[in-house]
Amino acid sequence: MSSDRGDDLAARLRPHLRQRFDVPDAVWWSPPHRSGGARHPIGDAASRADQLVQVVERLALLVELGDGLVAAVTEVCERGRGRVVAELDEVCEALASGQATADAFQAWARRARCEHVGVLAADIRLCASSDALAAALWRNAGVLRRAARDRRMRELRRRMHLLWLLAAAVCAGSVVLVLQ
Amino acid sequence: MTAAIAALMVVAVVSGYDHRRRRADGAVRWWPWLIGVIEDRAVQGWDDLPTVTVGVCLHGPPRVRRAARAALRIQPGVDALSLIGALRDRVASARGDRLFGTVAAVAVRAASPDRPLARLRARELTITADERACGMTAAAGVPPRWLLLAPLAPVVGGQLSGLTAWLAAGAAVSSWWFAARWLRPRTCVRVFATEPIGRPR
Repeated sequence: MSSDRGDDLAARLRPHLRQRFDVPDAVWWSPPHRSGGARHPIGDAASRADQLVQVVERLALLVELGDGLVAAVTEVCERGRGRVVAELDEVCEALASGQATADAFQAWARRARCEHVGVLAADIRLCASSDALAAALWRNAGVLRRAARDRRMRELRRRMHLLWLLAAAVCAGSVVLVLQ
Repeated sequence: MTAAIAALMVVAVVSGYDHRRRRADGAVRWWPWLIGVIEDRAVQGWDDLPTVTVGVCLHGPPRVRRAARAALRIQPGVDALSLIGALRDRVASARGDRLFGTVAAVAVRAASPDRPLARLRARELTITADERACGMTAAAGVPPRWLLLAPLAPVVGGQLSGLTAWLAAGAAVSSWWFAARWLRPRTCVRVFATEPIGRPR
């Protein structure tokens, strides 16, 4: 990066600022956030549903911006991590070996035994244009997000009921002890 | 004894209100607003999308503001697209990935930012509403969580003594602490890195 381009950017950003940002000791400087630069974006507790939502949304964005589905899948595989991206890697390899896109996605659905991916594969097979494909991907992403939210709420409610039962038992035991 | 139980009940009710307020006013609620400002300035043609994004983040909410200023401080001479990558690494969340990933993808392809940003803002509004609903549901578990401290009442009142008292107190406090972790809404993990990771993973 040349210093000219840096100066140019500084000049263009200046209207956005109340202070100068190119002075090393400027008052607005703050240390990096402690979560910055995470090297392991995937935690152990990552759920497949959450990852699938992000992957499908990214595919939809890339297709909407003009990439083909194969190029979008390749980019997702290059930048992504986790279980779903590992599954998509096999789709990428199948596409590289000449398999049709819809067939590769259908094979993914069979391997993963995931009905959402099956629906996605069927939608891909039906799409005739990139606009229709992007719309189908966004629609699937919305469905996946709602399914993930419903699953999360169900789990929370189940835990809530268990906690109330436990609290009732603990309180009853304590009251019996106190009254003795 | 009665006073101890009454005190526990008061603590449970008060903590329920407090917890519900904190969950509802979580730090994520400003995110759709941030995207809206970026969208507005980009559509009005203030500058190219990465520059507008960095500019808005510099005056954005605390976490993003700190990240933007630190990125500029450490890399003062880089272009706006590189700063977007640095910001994405510093914010380090699925939410940040969605915003900065969209900005980078739009900028690299020189596409129109209108539709992607409008779609992103609508999506973030939905996600924020979902997270607040989850937070409210989790907040309803705060009173039973505090009631798990009820075994402290016989300990304070003298009905339990010695090792039994210590065991009861330890079990009460540890169950109270684990219940908080158990009820915490699960956050969405990051899937995408800023730079290509390459295969095999």
